[in-house]
Amino acid sequence: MVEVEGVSKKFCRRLRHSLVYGMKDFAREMTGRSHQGNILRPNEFWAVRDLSFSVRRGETLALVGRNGAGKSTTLKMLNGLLRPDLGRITVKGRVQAMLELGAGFSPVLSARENVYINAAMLGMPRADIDKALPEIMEFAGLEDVLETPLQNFSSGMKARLAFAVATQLDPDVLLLDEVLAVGDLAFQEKCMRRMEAFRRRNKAVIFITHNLYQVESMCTSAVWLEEGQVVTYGRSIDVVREYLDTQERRTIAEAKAEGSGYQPRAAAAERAYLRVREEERAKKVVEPPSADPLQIRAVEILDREGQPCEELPFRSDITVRIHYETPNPILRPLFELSFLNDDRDVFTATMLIDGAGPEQIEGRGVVECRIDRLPLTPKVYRIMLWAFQSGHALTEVATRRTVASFRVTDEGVDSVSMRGPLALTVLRQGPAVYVPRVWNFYDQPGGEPVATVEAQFAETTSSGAERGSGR
Amino acid sequence: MRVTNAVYSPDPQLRTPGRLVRGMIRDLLASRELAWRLFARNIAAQYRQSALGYVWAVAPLLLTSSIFILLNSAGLLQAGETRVPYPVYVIIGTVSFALFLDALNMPLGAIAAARGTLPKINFPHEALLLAGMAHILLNFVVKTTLIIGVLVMFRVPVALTAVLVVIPLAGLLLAGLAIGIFLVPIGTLFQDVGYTLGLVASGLVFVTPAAYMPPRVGLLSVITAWNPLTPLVMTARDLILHGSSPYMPTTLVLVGVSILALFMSWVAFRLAMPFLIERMGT
Repeated sequence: MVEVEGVSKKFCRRLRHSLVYGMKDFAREMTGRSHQGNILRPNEFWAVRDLSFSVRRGETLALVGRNGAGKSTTLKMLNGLLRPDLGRITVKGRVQAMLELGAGFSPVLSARENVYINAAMLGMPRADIDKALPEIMEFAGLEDVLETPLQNFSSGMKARLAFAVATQLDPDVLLLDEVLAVGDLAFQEKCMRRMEAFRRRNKAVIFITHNLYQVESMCTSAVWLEEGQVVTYGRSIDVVREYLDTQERRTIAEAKAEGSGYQPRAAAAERAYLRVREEERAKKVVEPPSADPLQIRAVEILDREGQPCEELPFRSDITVRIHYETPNPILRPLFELSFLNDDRDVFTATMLIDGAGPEQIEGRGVVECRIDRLPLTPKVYRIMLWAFQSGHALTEVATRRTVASFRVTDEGVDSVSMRGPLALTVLRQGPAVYVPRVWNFYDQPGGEPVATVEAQFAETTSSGAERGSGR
Repeated sequence: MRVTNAVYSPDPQLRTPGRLVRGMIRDLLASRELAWRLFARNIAAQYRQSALGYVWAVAPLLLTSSIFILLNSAGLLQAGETRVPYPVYVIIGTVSFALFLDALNMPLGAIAAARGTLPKINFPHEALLLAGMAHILLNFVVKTTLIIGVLVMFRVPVALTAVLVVIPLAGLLLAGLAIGIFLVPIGTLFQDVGYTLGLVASGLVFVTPAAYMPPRVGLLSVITAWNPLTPLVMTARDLILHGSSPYMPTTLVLVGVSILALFMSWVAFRLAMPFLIERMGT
């Protein structure tokens, strides 16, 4: 229903240039000459470059990307508000666009009058508006304020009114620009249901969103734009995955660029903590002013084959290998590894619970901590290390600090029988810890389960075989 | 929802004139209902916040006419031999001339007022012009009460052929629209056009024989002779007061030219709108 072929659009950074170019292009148009769409004049840039995609009946396509990526420009071209400078857009059927809720509303007129004008602007005949008015007001939940001037409405109420009008029109192709971001939760839910109904009636929907949950749950395909160019175009789940992967890799790369070696980045809280310790240490003259008694030479993350890595599949085994050096003997050492995501502790592997190491360590050595089937969801994590001596009293021998970071990928999630509608997005954006569980449904307590739901994990993701009777 | 089976490409629209004209006719037809809504909205929005309402439609006109009448009675203005009481003469003249002026200023104003909506909603833009035209006509109807009032007050008889006055009046309206719409593209991009229009309008009233008979000598006689508004304003007044006008043939030619010019500026308007909307931003 929508076919976009090699479309480009350029904009101008300077207003004055833009006005002059506008006159020139208009002059060329008036004389029937094509304007040179493929050439960038001074101060011009490509807002959209060589964009191609198609949307068929019953499909929903999401446009994702950062601000200024060209998403709204694309939507405006699809709506015919902007003409492409290159390429071709073909749209079959009636198009309805909602680029901004409440555009064209007049504040001094009543809700009813505004509905009539807005609907007329969107092309609805008067008789149809008369018929649809009660439903519009009911959907917007504004039956009681029909005659109230719009200037007394909250922005949420205006948005609800506008959405109710626009979706009442029953177009073949619906274009939406982040309009679902408004309104309270109940209203958003209503909007989602209406869009889903659209899709089921074989209509096409194209919408812009920053909400990856919406992309995964509501869209069949997605286009990820960056600086006007397509980064990925394909199944929505693949685009979401690549989008998140890239964001996370960026986080790691930034962390590496800021820090050095195995100590990527001290977060703000950590820096503050270290500063306080530094000050305390300066006060205590008795303590050696130099570094910790236990020096951390390197920390490695190993996968289940024992190979150093920075990325691990979901539910994989992990080994943290710590190379240390201590000139003086340390009695009954205790190590502690904290796993953090977004500067929040997710869990701690600590020998304060598990028990102390050998009677004494001295010189160079290695300590490894192995965790089977790491219960962390796909995200970026960092590890903070802390070490103690528990000889006569508990004393700190290595200051708590970040020693490594790694990423859990969603590789292999496909082979896990997770059939929830938002499996991938919740795993990736939801809480950090994943605990396997079993859901049983019974007709009555104590009977045989009528249904069992359990995620099944493939062999590759863990060292041992998984038991499972999921369905 | 008006867009059905659309193709958007950078190819100049003039290369497919058939499609262009079909689109113009389709949008004109499609915009009638919206134009009516917009017209009603403009009226409501304008008068809901005003206590005097329609008085404002005639107030500027009354002021201008009063000044002319005052100047004339003081002997400061040589209006010439008008054959009817001067107030009758000047009010018919200024009401007719105001029709042209309103039409001239309307398109740029209508587009400027819709600046917030144009980049957000794709609707037939002809509706803005139609709504503006309806507003001009309504104001004109209100103003004709002035003419009727003054005719009754001075007991001036009106000939039956006065109904032909719609021809020169249509000429004034169409000429104003043609020029006003033609100025939309450049006027929307550059504010200078709007400023210039204001200046020209205030000067134009003095070089058009709205408040005086066309002079026989001097520079003004040359200007009024070449001013295309002269025959239109003169015909309108002559038809009401005398039932016929020597300017009628010229008026008919001018009406024809105005219709043609209006069509051409409509084409220019359509071709320009995408470029203008692009530069209105969000």
